[in-house]
Amino acid sequence: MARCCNEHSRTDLMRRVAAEAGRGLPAIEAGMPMPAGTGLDRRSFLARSAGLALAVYGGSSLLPRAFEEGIAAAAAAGPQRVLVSVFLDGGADSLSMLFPSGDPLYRRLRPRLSLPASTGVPFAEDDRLRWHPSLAALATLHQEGKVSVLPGVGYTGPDQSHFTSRHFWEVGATNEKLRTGWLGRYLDRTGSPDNPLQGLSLESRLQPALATATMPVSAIDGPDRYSFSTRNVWGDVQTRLLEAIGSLGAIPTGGDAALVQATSVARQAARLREQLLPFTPKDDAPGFTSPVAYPQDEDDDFPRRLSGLAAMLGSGLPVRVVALTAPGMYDTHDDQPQELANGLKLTAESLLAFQRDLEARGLADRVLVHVWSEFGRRAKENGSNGTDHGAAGAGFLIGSRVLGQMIGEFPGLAKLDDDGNLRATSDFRGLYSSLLEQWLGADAEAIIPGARSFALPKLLK
Amino acid sequence: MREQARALTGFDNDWKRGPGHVNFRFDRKRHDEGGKRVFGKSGPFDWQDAVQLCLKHPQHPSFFVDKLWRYFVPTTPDTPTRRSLESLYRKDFQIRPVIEAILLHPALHAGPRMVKPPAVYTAGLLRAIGRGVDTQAWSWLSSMSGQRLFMPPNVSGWDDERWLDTATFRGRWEVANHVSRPFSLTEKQAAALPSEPQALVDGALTFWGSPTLRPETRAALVGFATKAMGDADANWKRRSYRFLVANGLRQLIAVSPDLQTS
Repeated sequence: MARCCNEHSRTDLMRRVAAEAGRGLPAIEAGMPMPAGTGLDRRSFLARSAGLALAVYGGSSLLPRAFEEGIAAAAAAGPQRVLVSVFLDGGADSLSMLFPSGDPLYRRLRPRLSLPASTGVPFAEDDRLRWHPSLAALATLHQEGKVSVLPGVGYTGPDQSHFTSRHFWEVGATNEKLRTGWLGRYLDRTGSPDNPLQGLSLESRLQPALATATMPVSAIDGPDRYSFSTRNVWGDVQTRLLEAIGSLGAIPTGGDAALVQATSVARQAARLREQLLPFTPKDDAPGFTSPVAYPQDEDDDFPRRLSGLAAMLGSGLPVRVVALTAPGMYDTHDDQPQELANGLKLTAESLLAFQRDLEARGLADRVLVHVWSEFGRRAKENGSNGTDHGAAGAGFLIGSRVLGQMIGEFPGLAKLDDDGNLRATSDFRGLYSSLLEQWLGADAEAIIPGARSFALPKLLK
Repeated sequence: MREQARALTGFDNDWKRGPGHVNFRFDRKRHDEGGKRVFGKSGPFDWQDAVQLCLKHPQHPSFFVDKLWRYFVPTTPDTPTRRSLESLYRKDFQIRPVIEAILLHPALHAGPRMVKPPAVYTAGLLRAIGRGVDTQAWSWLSSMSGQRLFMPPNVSGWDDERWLDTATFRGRWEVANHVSRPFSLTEKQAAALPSEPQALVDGALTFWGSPTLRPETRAALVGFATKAMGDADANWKRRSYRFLVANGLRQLIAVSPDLQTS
């Protein structure tokens, strides 16, 4: 398995630092930003508490029976558009995803890593580029006009730290101090105080892009995995016990911030459990079924999470924005080819299955997937059969409604920046602003700082 | 930061299936012997120098004492407190006396509550029933609750203001369930249990070492017991629901806002 740089994985960081100290420690800069949603200062924390307190005292919709009301409210609002954010963790190599086979410098910069011109499908919009063979599923969707490619997305003054660059993308600004995610701020403006499903982190921890200041959001491994069992409690008593979680969530707090937090989470858990009740497996029968086959993978839950999401959307649950991490390790400092191919293949094939699933369910017109990574990689390969941190990278918008045309062009290898990295031809903040305005119908200026200063690409058919 | 990192080079270890990283050692051959410049000082620093440079930084004592304080008290210490803790620490850089002073400080016992970190929550429940660390399950259970020890989410550690979300709440539910699991009541014990909701609540509180609950929390527990016992519409149910309700009460007490915070 390829080694990623120490700084890369937030979860494994300390372990890797210990394991690889002999190779030199990662450069972690002073003033490294905290992920959005962490380290809320006292004031914003209290503001958040106040918002949640409104939910506590807001009326009958707080009690467990709120499930039907939530569905009813969502149905009354009409079918809503959904945005799914998929993160390629580690800085995915755009020069392999869409490799510039027709650029004369490509083989000179990548003598070992360059892919032969005989592999992959040509990219119809730019004859210099070909799809990585592992992205064949995306090439298929592109051919159908369901993928818009961003061949050089980034920002000016690119930061080559995983932490910092990822943070910028998560908060939707090159601001190290922002503590709310860009999707979180969208929910703060348009969300509901009693619907945790509106912002859904499809993994066991909250995705920082979803961090809100006031509105509840949720994190689950899958819709069929949010159950609460207790040893030697069953039947009617278990039903009452599960109801009582909601009662714990309605206990007055007297304004104590920690009690507000502990009470709110009980209330949100109770509500979420009710919302997901239809997906609970019964008598070994799965909690949901999919109309299409998803890739099977022993190690990664990504296909399963996407199929669960399609089932949730199919049942009419009020989900608005979703965030999850793609399979694979993209910080490919060494032994890049296999590691990258594996991750891309499972990601692309799962996304194709997800699109087909949505089409089969008649939902494809209201779901859009955004695939992103914190940066691309250096044009020149390194000495360990890998590539180092770069600047601009590739991104994809997938869905039946996307325009299916490139956003910004491929910048070429002749005009790299001073560090030998690709220059950005589109800005992620412009993309976010377009997504907010054209897809989610929100005022981008109120969510993305300086939204008007970026070019806002046209995204939809 | 980069220069300090160079000072820390030279460590190596082996990987063994099972125990993981073993044989942690310093190997001079892997150490960068070159000159470094850290905090305005220059020299061929190694890992011991790196530690000394941090300890001697003028802002180290206030930073360290402040961080330690925040693990126990959610409000910032007043200036006299901060000064006295700092001077206590400066004396000979011992951590124990500083912790003692924090534990004896009135601010720890009064003032707003804090959400317990998962490790503290788990240890507290185990301690309350006199159970030790007798299984490795606490590792994955704590992980579900958002805190796998020795594996913080990033170099700045865990965020103590953000422990609770819908996923970590479920993790804490599992922790509570696993702590009380070996002692869960069964049909056999039903006859010895009371059927009165208030008495059932008292019994469940005794199980957890009689923690103090707010009256509103107790009322919610009694509400659950009353409704659940009220569902019993046959004699056999009236008997067997006692142990089901007693187990349920233990679970509810452990996940109540009162026990999630301190």
